[in-house]
Amino acid sequence: MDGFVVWLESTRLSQSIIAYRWIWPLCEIIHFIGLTLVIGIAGFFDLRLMGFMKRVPVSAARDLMPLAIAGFLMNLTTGATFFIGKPHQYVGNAAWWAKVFFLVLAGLNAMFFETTVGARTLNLGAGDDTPRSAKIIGAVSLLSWLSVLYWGRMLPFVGNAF
Amino acid sequence: MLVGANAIIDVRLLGFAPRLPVPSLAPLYRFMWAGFAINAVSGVMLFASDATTKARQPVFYVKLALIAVALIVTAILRKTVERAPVLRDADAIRGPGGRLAALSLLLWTGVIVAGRLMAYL
Repeated sequence: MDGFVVWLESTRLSQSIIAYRWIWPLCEIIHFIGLTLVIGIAGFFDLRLMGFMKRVPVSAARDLMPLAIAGFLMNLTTGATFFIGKPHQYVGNAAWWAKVFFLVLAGLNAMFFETTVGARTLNLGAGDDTPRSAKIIGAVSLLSWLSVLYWGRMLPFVGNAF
Repeated sequence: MLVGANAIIDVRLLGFAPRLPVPSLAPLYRFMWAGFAINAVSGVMLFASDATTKARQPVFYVKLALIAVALIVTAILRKTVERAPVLRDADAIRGPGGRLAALSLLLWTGVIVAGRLMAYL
């Protein structure tokens, strides 16, 4: 891992990210806008799956998903920029690994939803209750995304890499 | 919670996700105000811990001004959302509602930009 970090920091891409001092703040702004989209929109869908706001048809709530995916792609791109710029800040940081863990958990949970109960819940209209399995999946998703947010915010405060 | 939930209402009023009934989004205001309360309290604490620096930053006052205007726009938009049963669900909200939604989206994004820039300016 140390060899990889040294190599990554020696690349022109990594050095450019640091040399142009506006890149980091710009990426942070995009990262924060992206996270409001992910948490706001995926969280909205999760809450509906959990049985809140039943007047919202499940399929209609899902129509917003492209915006959550756009937010996620913004964060994946800017997050990769941070990592390429200063890999040593992240690979040795327990908060970063916790963040990655919950990202993977959120992703696997979403894939599980899509391949199992996902299709059935989309027929649910306004006022319909969701099955227990969908409630659990929604809760796992919401907690995973909030954990991603929490550990991301904890990055500068855990360990001493920053 | 605040900006994300607000974005849902704004994009819906702008015509995105037309199958989403506007009045069904009213419960989101509870989340928004809860999010705002959390941010107001934690924001005051963050300010108190570093007031001499932050009070001298022009971008801090830009952020406060944007929040003030955004809150007013958000409160006005709530009336549009609650009035929406008389509108057809599939329609984008025409007239001032749509323009206000665009303004709201812009203002809250501006709050994030200003807040993030506080660490750099």
